[in-house]
Amino acid sequence: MSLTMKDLEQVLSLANLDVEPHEKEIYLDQLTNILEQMETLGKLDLEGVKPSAYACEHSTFLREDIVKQSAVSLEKNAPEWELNSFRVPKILAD
Amino acid sequence: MEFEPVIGIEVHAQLKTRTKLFCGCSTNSGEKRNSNVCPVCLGMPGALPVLNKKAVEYAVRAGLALNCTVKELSVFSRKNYFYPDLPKGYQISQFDLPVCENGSITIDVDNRKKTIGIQRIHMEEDAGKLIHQGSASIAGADYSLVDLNRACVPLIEIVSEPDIRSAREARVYVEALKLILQHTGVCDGNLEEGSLRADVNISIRPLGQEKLGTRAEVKNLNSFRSLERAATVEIERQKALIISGGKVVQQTRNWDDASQKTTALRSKEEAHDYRYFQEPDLIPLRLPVAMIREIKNSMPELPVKKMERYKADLGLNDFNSYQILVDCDMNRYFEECLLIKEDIEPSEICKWILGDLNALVKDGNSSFSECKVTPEKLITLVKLIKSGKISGKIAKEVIKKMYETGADPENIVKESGVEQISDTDMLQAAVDKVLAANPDVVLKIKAGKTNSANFLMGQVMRETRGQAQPDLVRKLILDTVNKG
Repeated sequence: MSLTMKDLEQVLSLANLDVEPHEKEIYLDQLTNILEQMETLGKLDLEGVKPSAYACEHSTFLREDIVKQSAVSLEKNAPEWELNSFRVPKILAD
Repeated sequence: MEFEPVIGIEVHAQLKTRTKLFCGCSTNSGEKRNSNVCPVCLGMPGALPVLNKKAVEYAVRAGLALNCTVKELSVFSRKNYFYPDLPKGYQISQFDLPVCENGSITIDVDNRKKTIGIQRIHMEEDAGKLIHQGSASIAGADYSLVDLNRACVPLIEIVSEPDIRSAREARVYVEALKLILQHTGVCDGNLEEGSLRADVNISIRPLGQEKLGTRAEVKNLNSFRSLERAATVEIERQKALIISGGKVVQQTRNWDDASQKTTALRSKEEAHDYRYFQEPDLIPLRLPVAMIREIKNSMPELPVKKMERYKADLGLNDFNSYQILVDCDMNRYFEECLLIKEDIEPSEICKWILGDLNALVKDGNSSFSECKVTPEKLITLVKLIKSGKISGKIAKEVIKKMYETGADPENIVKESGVEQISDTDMLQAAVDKVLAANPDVVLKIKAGKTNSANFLMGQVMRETRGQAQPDLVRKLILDTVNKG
């Protein structure tokens, strides 16, 4: 599988990332390398092997439904704070 | 040309847990803005999600109630997109491996049974709430405020198969879901307050055609009435569009109750690419068979079964057995009454609950769980009527006082002296007085028109301020006339 510049630009735009043109070449090269590495798997005989996205076979830990109040200083984390809320710019363009 | 609508519905139901899906913050949204938040639901770097056990139980319960296969292995994924109400820049949801699949429910559409398939149920976290400033809607707003109390609140999304064929069926389907989710204790089921949200996907095709048409998704349906109405309007819009040579485009449309129209919200033509991938912060959810079995064994009675029981065992009619089900609080109250009813007819209890008590609760903007007329007190009241101590008419006054003060019906009856008069001597005096004042009516009764006794009964009731026992009065009138 090869990654084209168009694929890269699509991913960058979906992720809201601005990248300089010369950097794009570097990233495309690096990402292509990673994908080629993964292609090693294609050479293996995986017939009958269960897909495993995770290395461990445990189930996720389940937490009891008990309220825990957390103290976070929200104002310090908000660029703009108004009426106990995060203030964000106009969402829809004119 | 005749068209056939094809409808599929996605219902988001808020699970009735105390805490959020991945953190211990309270799900109480009524509190001060941004008061129930923590590093996890704020999406701060390094904070890790931990799955709420109760939310899993509720999702499984919903799945079992909707006849789904509960998957022993399910996986959480990240759905990536940017919006100000989504602090992490992604929503933790389930994608290719949801917790429940392949269910169905049978609904009753105007006395016709129809089975609607349930494609899947998956768990996900809710987003925050936006409060637009400078305008009521997002369109004209100058800026917006974000409240993250609702962020990460647990939801299940129930996705139906496109089996629905009319606006009416769409409404009945969501009504049936609501009832099931409420009776299984999984969700409040409040469309108006948004704890249950339905998005309706509608397309139309020429009758007999196999291939599906292009669909539009309708949102912002805050009541069952607007859901049915919006679906009807959208079907008509698509029909008119096609007949006039136009094409339906795939888009999300907003229902506006005021104008009774759907308008385009955003185009889905360039299909959203959410770049789903498995959530690296959560390992897969493996549900032990024993846990699924335990949830199955603790399932409450489902509304369909309950309704059958009310009809078969309690002798309630179709209408009443449904009415006593739709309000969960009221239903719980009714069930409590049944436990202590002794020899009182269930239909009699049902009548008082659906009638006078319901009216009082509604007028008082209250609920049955807060009602001062406890089940014990209501049963006592019905017993007073049954034993002839008070008339049904007086009981209506007594229950009002009970509702206001919470007093025992026996005390109210004693204190206000409204006990029914069943003393023959006392009543005979009143009967004699009324007969003497109405000789013409007496003649009519003598001539065989016994119906005329009703008029005299009314007069006696007035004389005794409604406290006379009606059957006894009738008997006394007829006996006296016949003797004379």
